[in-house]
Amino acid sequence: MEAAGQMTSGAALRIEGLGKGFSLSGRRIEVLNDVDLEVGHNEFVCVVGPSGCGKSTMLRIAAGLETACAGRVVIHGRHMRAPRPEVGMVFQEYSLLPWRTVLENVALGPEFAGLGRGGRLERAREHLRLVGLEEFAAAMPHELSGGMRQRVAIARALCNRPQALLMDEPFGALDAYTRILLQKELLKVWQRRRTTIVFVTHSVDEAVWLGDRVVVMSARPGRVLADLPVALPRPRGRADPAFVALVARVLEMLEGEASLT
Amino acid sequence: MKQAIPGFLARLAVPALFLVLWEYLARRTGNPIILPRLGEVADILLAPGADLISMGSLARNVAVSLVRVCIGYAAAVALAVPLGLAMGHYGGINRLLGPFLSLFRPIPPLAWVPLVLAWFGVASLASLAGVQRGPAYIYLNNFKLSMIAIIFLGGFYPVLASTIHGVRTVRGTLVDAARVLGARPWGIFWKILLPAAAPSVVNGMRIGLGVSWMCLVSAEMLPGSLSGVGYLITHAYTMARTDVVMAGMISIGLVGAVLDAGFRLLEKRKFAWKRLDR
Ligand SMILES: Nc1ncnc2c1ncn2[C@@H]1O[C@H](COP(=O)(O)OP(=O)(O)O)[C@@H](O)[C@H]1O
Ligand SMILES: [Mg+2]
Repeated sequence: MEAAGQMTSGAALRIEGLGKGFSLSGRRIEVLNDVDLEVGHNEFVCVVGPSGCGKSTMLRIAAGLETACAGRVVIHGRHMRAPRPEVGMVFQEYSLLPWRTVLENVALGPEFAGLGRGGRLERAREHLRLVGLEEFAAAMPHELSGGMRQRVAIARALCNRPQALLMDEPFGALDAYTRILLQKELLKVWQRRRTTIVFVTHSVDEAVWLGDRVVVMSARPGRVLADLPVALPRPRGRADPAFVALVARVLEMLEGEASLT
Repeated sequence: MKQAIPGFLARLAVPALFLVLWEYLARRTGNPIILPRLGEVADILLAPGADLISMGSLARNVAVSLVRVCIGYAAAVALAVPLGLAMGHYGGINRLLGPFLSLFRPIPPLAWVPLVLAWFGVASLASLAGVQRGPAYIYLNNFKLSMIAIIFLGGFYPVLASTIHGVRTVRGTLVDAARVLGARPWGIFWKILLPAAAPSVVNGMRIGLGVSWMCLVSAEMLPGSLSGVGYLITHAYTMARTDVVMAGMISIGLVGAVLDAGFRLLEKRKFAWKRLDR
């Protein structure tokens, strides 16, 4: 299995025939049904889909936090059966440790890897600088705004120098203005620190603005409905007719899905 | 400052009124066995080193009680915290032990007294340590196993319940985030579960210490005891020394309040994040 994964490793991340169901009060619900997806090295892929279609479940399986019922996820040639520090994840919910300073939060990955205090704090500081929050190194998470907390969470994930970064609606809880700022910030960081990103969002505008590709998923059980390249140069203009047209096209697909449910 | 003085006065108003009422009633009653006067009780409290009814000083008896509490309570914390962490984290351990332990929980620690006395009798730390004479014996013999067992029972459940609750309510996202960052189970335990549950654990320790302290004083009123504030109170009662009884009661209240305040201060200093988070 592992060897086969390595042989066809043109992609950084491959989701192969992924299926997942849960038993909810005795009833079995099918959440993902035969999902296939390939993401190239350093590619930025956005995933949109109706809420409840299994986007978070898919990312959690890819992170190794949950096991698949069918199929598998292979990242850099390795089947994701359990979490690995080379595969980072940023959650929608607030996930910083509230009793640690910002810097100590960012240093968590190297700390788990057994790096000494001096070394890991140095590395954490470097990553805080990357997201523009070095002055807040000594602050506590509760002293930060929602947008700043997510920037810290991104710095924390990048501090492990991951091969792939899975982002589950990281800006979903932010106001529209902060959201746009963080999208810019994320692109900047990604352009400096190239890594493979799978970014789940419910905002079509966000997906089209950020992604090299936009993957549209069907209503539950989630499947890949469409995989659309975004052939627009960055920075993208939200008023650009091509941008508007692509957003409209994706929205139409999602509306079609909504009418099915 | 302008605000502080009326606030300070307001806090003192009710106790002052209470003292005035006490003194008034004591004078009207005119019987120190029913209600001694303020000054008589104050004299005892203000000279804690003086010998009382040939039982040693108030300070010494309070100290003996405190050491007893510390031993039983330390044992309760040492067992309840690791057990609570394990029960909170591992559903299997909780299913195995939870129902059994909750069976004993409603039993008031003092209801155990006859059994505990039957088991431990007058055995003390001295018998446990094998010391049979000398000053060490006299000292260690103050710490009867039966009393320590009662204190233990009083402190155990509050600490256990809060620890389990603390671990249970750790947000799953924190554990997931740590796992993704490369944490092994041991790292999750030390760096996520323990610090996240700490405020709840310490809160349980504060409540447990209060219960232990109350249980102790009751336990000291039992046969076999020869020292401690609880015994001082019982003994003073048989000698109709109500002033000593009241001085003992006030000492119990003060020590309990100081211990509680110490814990509250620790909570405020160390766990500010818990209040401020979200
Ligand atoms: N642990 C679980 N147990 C039972 N059902 C779950 C579990 N996790 C997710 N689900 C269900 O799976 C479906 C998809 O959830 P999710 O992946 O969070 O969707 P999305 O992120 O696309 O909104 C939902 O209907 C949800 O109720
Ligand atoms: Mg989701």
